This record gives sequence, structure tokens and C-alpha cells, in this order.
Amino acid sequence: MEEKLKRAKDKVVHTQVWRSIFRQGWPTTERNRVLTTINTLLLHLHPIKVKTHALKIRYTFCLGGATLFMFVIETITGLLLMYYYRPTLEYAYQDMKDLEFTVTFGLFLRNMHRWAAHLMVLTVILHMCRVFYTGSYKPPREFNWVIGVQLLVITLLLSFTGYLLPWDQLAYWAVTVGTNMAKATPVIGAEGPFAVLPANTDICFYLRGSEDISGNTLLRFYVLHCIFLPLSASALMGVHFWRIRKDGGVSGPL
Amino acid sequence: MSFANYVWFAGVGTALVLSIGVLFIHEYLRVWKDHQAIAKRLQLKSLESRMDALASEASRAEGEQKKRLEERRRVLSMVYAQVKATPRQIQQIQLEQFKKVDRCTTCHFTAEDKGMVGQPQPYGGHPGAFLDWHEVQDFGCTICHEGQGLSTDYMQAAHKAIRIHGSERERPWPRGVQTKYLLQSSCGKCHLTKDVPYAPLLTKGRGLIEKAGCYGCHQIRLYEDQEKIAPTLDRLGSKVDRAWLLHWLNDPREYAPATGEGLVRSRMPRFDLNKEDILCLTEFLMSSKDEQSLEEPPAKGNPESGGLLFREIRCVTCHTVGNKGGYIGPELEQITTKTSRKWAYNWLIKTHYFDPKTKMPQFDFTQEQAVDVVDHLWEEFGADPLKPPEGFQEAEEALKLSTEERMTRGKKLFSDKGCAGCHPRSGMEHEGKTGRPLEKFAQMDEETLDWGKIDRFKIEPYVGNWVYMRLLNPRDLAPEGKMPHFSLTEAEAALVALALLSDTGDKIPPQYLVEEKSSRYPRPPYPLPYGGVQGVEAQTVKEYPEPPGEFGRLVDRYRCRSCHVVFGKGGWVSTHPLDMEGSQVQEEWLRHYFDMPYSLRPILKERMLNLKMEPEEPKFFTEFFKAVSLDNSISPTLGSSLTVEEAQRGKGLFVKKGCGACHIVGGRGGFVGAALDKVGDRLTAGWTYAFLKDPQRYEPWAIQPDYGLTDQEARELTAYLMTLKDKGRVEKVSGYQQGGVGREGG
Repeated sequence: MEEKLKRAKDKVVHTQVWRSIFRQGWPTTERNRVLTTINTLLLHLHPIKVKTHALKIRYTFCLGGATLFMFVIETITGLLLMYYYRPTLEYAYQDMKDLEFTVTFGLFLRNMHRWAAHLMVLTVILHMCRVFYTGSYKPPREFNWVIGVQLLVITLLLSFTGYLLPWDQLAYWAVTVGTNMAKATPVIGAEGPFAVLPANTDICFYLRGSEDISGNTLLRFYVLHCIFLPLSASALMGVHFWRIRKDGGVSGPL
Repeated sequence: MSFANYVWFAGVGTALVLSIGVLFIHEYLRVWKDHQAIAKRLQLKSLESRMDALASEASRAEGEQKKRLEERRRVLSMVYAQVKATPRQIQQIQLEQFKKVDRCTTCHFTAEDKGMVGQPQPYGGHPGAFLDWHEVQDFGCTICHEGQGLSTDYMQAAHKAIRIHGSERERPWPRGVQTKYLLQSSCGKCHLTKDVPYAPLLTKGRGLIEKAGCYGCHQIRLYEDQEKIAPTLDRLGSKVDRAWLLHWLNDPREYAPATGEGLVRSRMPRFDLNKEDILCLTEFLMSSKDEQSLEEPPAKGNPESGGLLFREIRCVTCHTVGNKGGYIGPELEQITTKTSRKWAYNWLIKTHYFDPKTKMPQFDFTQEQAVDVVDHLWEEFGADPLKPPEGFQEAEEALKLSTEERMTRGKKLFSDKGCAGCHPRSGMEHEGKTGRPLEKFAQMDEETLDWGKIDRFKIEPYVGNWVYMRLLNPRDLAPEGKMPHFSLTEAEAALVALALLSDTGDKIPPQYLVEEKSSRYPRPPYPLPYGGVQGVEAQTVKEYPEPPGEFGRLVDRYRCRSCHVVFGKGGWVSTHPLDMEGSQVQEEWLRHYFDMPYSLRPILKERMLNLKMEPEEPKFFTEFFKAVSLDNSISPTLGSSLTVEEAQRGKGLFVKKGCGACHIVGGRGGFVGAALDKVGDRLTAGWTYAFLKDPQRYEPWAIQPDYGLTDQEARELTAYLMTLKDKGRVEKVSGYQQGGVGREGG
């Protein structure tokens, strides 16, 4: 019996299809372990070797990983929400209500997206604190700290742009207040110091696509929220994770 | 892996599975499912009992009646089958026109079933007959009731008030489900008319806005092109007594009838001016004089013949005397302290010269008659000249301002306080809108309103409450504000708030709007003489033509439009527009009516004035009406085709339909409708027939019920009514010629 199984396994493993996907054998030897990590897309970001102290949960609490996990949840639920949501004045609020009251598990989907978003902001900030307290921003990791700060900003922007999409009173006024702040930007804001641009061409206007919050703003924020910001975040995350490996693995002394 | 790790893994895994289970249960147990199941059960039970009742009734009945009952039972059983077959699912009404979706009927499943009226909500049927002409499929629910139609649970649909942060009080959501009291403000979204049928509170509120003249200072929807409500202030220096003006500006309610309430007491609000301001304003107002237009009246008139004339003309239809009379004109009891004998005399002689926009007709008084009437008033109501109000003598002495300075300050006050909003004054025609625009009123955010001394969290901080309090006591909310005190009662203030809240700023598709002109005449044909609008839909009529020629001159002189609609425009004191008068009444009746007009409805306070026309003028009016003011859809020859048999059957119908409940015939009957004693002399048969067929033909709010008479029934009733003539009543039918009982004028 055991013989038969082993033969069947060998038969599968030695086919050209299998070999084209998995280039090396089982990671039982030192060499194969290295090859596995290098040759696999998902694992290639990982370091080949991880120090044992880095595996201790209490050292990092896996806050960066938790943030990534939230981002994945956001992506999946967000994609599903996009099936039901149309970013127009006419339908935005209506579609949100549809999700809540008629779409099966729509309420769950929407709440999941919302709570994961809140949690993501929280974990990102905690992650930043952890990095600060363990001194992990110090050379050679100073560049990754900068990338991390950029990711923090993108996370907050994702949160802000998503806030408008339900198109209810809370969203409308929160974004009115939020975008009004842009008017006070120096030089490029119409009401800021050294302002050079009039109200209808300043940075706030470009943010809103009009002088007040309107259908243009909704569309702009939707595209930012679903395309531009997630893609930027993904790109920066790639750099971020790669740099972790290059800078000596997950935290810990070098 | 250690044992502890296994435990952790198992624990977390179980929790995850359980939470997903909860998710399924939550998704399955939506509250609307229970509501719909209960509603359906109740409805089926009620339908069963109704069907049983019909069946037992049918078993007792016979013939035609039995067939009808069985038919009704069959319809009910179809409804029963339909309800039973409806699966449990979300019900929704899609309103393409309004860009809305209402899911209210998911829980209010039985709203359209009249048999369910009175059941506890959400299982009750919609009370009243509103759904008959605002069908749920066309209008949905939230157009009238507001709230969040897309939601399917109680809180999210905004049924309930929400709690204010840090307070025990609750407040309605800005656009939550309307309370019963405010519900009528929703009617005003589409009904852009001053009279809205079946919405008495809204109609009253809009009437109050018009009466108080709110639109003098504020921009208000529906009142954009309104005439100013108050008399002109040109020549005021020649008209009124200075001391009276001081009293009037100090507190207008002093002058008004003491027992009246609310706006009846005075339309002029109190402005809370200090003594110096009042003196300056008086100086400015009294500066407008016109002594050269005034003639000296004859020294002495005959008060007794003046009194006779005063009663004969029925001056009290418009003027109040001793707390009785109409409110169109000013109160007369205190006229002697207000103005001079000379002014009153000149006013009667040249009424329209002194105020071209007054509602008062230009009577054809001789100099003697005019001075008789004036002397009658002076004899009856004569009083000592007024002294300035308390403290004004001293204030005047203390006021160290030259006439020039007083004039400047007075003029500034006049502009600032928005006096020109209500009072026309030459040179200031375009001034007056000093108040905040009140368009899209219901959208106003209470955060942006000035709540003044009021602690917002102790009341419901809602824009409706704000305007209510502001109307009752403006200084509480804005101690430095301009808004004057109106003498509104609390009920009146609430009605004004309701009417203002009807301007929600919602986008209503134009085909749903009921605008002023189209509602007056909702159904063509309403041919306008000379208007050239015959065949054009009533809604498209924007401008009504002015009455032409001699007729126009007389209409202007006698101010017919103060009470009647002439050429599509005018007041609605009188019931039907005069534009169909020729089709409505008989020539002979009309000619005599001008000699001694009487009120057709016994309970109506307003009466037709005795205008003391020149002898040829009634004849002219009659001929004009008979030649021009016709409704072409009304048959002028119907009367001659009515038979005696029809009249006899009509009498039975009159009793059967219970017409006597509202109409008087032979000295008996109700007081709501017009007395029908001599209706055969007054109305034409064609008009009577048309009116019986469609009572709301000209006025959608007419209270005469539409009995759905067949053509033959309407003919019979008409034939009977045409026999009600001065000489006798129905017993004399046989005395009339066979084959024609109606007598047509012209």
C-alpha cells in the first residue's frame, strides 16, 4: 500500500506540469529551503532565515501583519461592495440602503468593511508606536520608516475618501469640513498664507471638482478610494516588506 | 505544538464558526419578516370575515342586490387568493418620477386595504380616502409622510425622534416621519396654491401668511408677486391726526377691536420703537401732505339720511363697527380720532384718486350724500381729539433734534424696519425686503439659526419650533433683531410654521405640481372671454387679460375683483367666477339682483354691497354677462327639453339623496348650501345640470358631494329644481306647459 502511494506521488511529482510550477523538491534540505523562498512569489518577500527571537509574538505583536490582514479584508469586501454601489448623486445613498436592507449579507459586508477600516487605522498607529519604542527606525531601517509614514498617510486618506461614499448627512458635512481645510494650504490654497490662486482654481477646488461638495467630488473620491490609493498602498507595501528583509529581518537587533 | 496551543486553536476556531452562525441567524431574522407575516395573517382573517358577511347578506338578498353582493364577494376572494399567494419578501414601490424607492409596504403590508383601518400599526389600513386619488403606485409613502423609505426597520426608517446628545429631550430627525400635526405641510410640496383641498391647516397657514403680509419683508414661495398689503402712505400728513399716529406706532393693538384675537386685532405688528424713534418716524411720515387736492366739505350734512345710506350700502360687509362686520376695510368706530372730517369727505368723493389700489369701490355719491355719511359717522362715533400717549410730551421736549435731523432719522428707520414692504410709498417702491429669505425653509439647518436666549437643549431645536417661537416672541430669540411683534395666537403661529415648512426644496416633477391657475380651473373648458385661450390647456395660461372697455372701467370702479373672480383674477369671497355668470344665471334675475342684492347662503357673513349704480349700469352688466361670460360647454337650451314627469321623479330623487340636509327648500333644510327656494328663477337649467354632474367643476374645494348621478338622474333633478320658482313650488308643476318647465333668460 505504502509502496503504491509513493509510486503514485512520484508519478505526479515528476510530470512536466508539476516541475514547471514547483522547480525544486520538498524543503527538506538547506538548499531546497532557500530555493523555495526565492522561487515562490508569495514567499520571496520573506527572508530566507528568520531569527528565533523574531518569532516571539510579544516582541512585535505582529502589528504590521495585522495591518496587512486588514488591508486584505478591505480589498475583498470592498471588491464585493463595488458590485452594488454606484458613485452618483442619484444612487449612492440608495445603493447603501439597498446593501443594508435588501442584499443578502449586505449589512454584514458593509459593516465588515467599515470596522476593518477602523481597525486598520488603529493597527497602523500601534505598529508605528511599536517601531518607535523598539528603536526599529534607526539605520539601516530609516528608509523603511519613511515608506511606513507614507503608508500611514495613504491609510488615513483611504479612510477619509471612503467616508464620503455613503453620501449621507454625516459624510457630506464631514467631507465639507475636511476639504475646507485644504483652502488654508499655503500658496496653493485660496485662503491660506501667500495665496496666489483664486477660489475656483485652488487645491480645494481640485479636490472637490467643484466649489461645493457635488457629484464630481463623489466620483473623484470613489476613484481615489478604489483605484489610486489602494494601488499606491500596494506598491509601497511591496517596497516596505522587501526592505524589511533587506534591512535585517523582522525587527530585533542586527 | 503544546496542548495549550491546541486549546487556543480550538477556542478561536469555534468562536469564528459561532459568529458566522450568528450572522446567518441575524440575516434570517429580519424584523420585517415577522411584521409581514402578522399583517398577512390579520388581513386574511379580516378578508375571510368580510367574505362571510357578504355571503350571509347575499343569501338574504334577492335579484339585483344579490348579484351585486356576490360580485363584491368574488372580488374579495380574488384579493384573498392574491394576498395568500404573495411570498414573504420585501415589497417596494419604485417611483421613477420622484427618483425614490419606498419599502414601507414591506411592514405596512395592508396599507391599501380599507378593511384594515383601525388595526394597530403597522398592520392598519390607510385611513380616509386619500389613497384613492394619490395612488400608492404613483406616489409611494414618503412623498407625504417623509422618513427613510429605503429602510426596512423601525429606527432606520426614521419613525422615531432621536435623543439629543447630553440631554433627556428627543427631537425629530430633520426629515423623519412627519408627525400627524405637521403632515399637511407635505401637501404643500406639490400643491402650490393658497387653497389646498382637504388640507385645512395648510390652507389656514397660507392664508395667515397672506393676511399678515410676511412676504413684505421675506422672500416666500407662492408670494413672489404679491401686492403690498397695507394702505399707501402718500398724503399721510393730510389724512391722519398726529397724536393718533403716535399711538398707532407705539402699539397698533390699542386701536384694534378689543375683543378680537390674533391677527383680527391688528395686522400692523408692533415694532418696539423707543419714544425718540417714534417721534422721528412720525415727523417723516407726516411730512407727506397733499392739501391742494382736498376740498372743503359742506358745513353741515344730515346724519340721519347718512345713516340710512350707510346701512343700505352695507358698509359693514367690509368695515368693522363695534366688533362686528368684515375685516377688509379699516375699523370705523374710532375714525373720528384717526382722521379729519375733511379727509373722510374727500375720500368718499375721490376714493380711487387717493388710493388707486384700494379694495373699496368708487361710490357715486353726490356732495350732499357724502357729507351725510361722514356726519353720520361723526355723530355716531364722535370723540374728543386724542392726546399723545403717556410720556411723549416730555420726550418731545427733551428731543434736541432739528426738523431736518428728525426727518433723516425717520427716513432711515422707515427703510431699516422694512415699512415699505407693506406700505406703498412713492419713491420707495422697491424697498422693503429686509428679512431673511425663507425659501426652502424646511431645509434650514437649526445650527445656523439664531437661538438667542433660548437654551436649545431644553426644547426641540427644530426649524419649525424656531419660527413658532420667533413669531410669538421675536425678542427672545433675537434681542436686537428687526422682526416686529405680530399679534398672533399660539395656534396661528403654529399654522404659519406649518405653512412655511411646506417649502422643502424637494425637486418635484412638473407634472405633479398643482399651481395656482391650474388648480383654480383644473379642468378645461374654462373659456375666458377675449382671452383667446379657448382650447389651450388651463395650466399654460400665465397672464390673464384685463377686462376691456366699458366693462373694464366698471369692474375697476366697483372693484368687483375685491370679492369676485373676473377674467381669471380676483378674490374668492363670492363662490363662482363671474366669467361664467351668463351661463349660470337667468337674465331677468340678474338685472333685479343689482337693485337689491341679497345673500344666497344664509350663514355667509359677507354680503353683496348695494353699489347704487347708475340706472343703465345693471343693464350693461347683464347684457355683457349674457353675451360674453359664457361657458360654451353648458347647453343654453336644456331647459326647454325638460318634462313634467322628469320634474316629478326629480323631487323623489331630491328627497332620496338627502339634499335637504344642506339646502333650504320651502323654508326648511340645512344652512350649508345655497337656499334653493327660488332657484328656478335664478339658475339656468344647463348650468344646474352641469353642476350636478360635476360639482367640483370650477372649484376643486366645493363641498357639494359628487353623487355620480347618471345623465337621466341629473336631468330629473334639474327639472325639479327648475320648478322651484317664486310663485309657488312643486305642486304647481301641472300648471306649467307640457314639454317645457324651464324658463331661460336671454
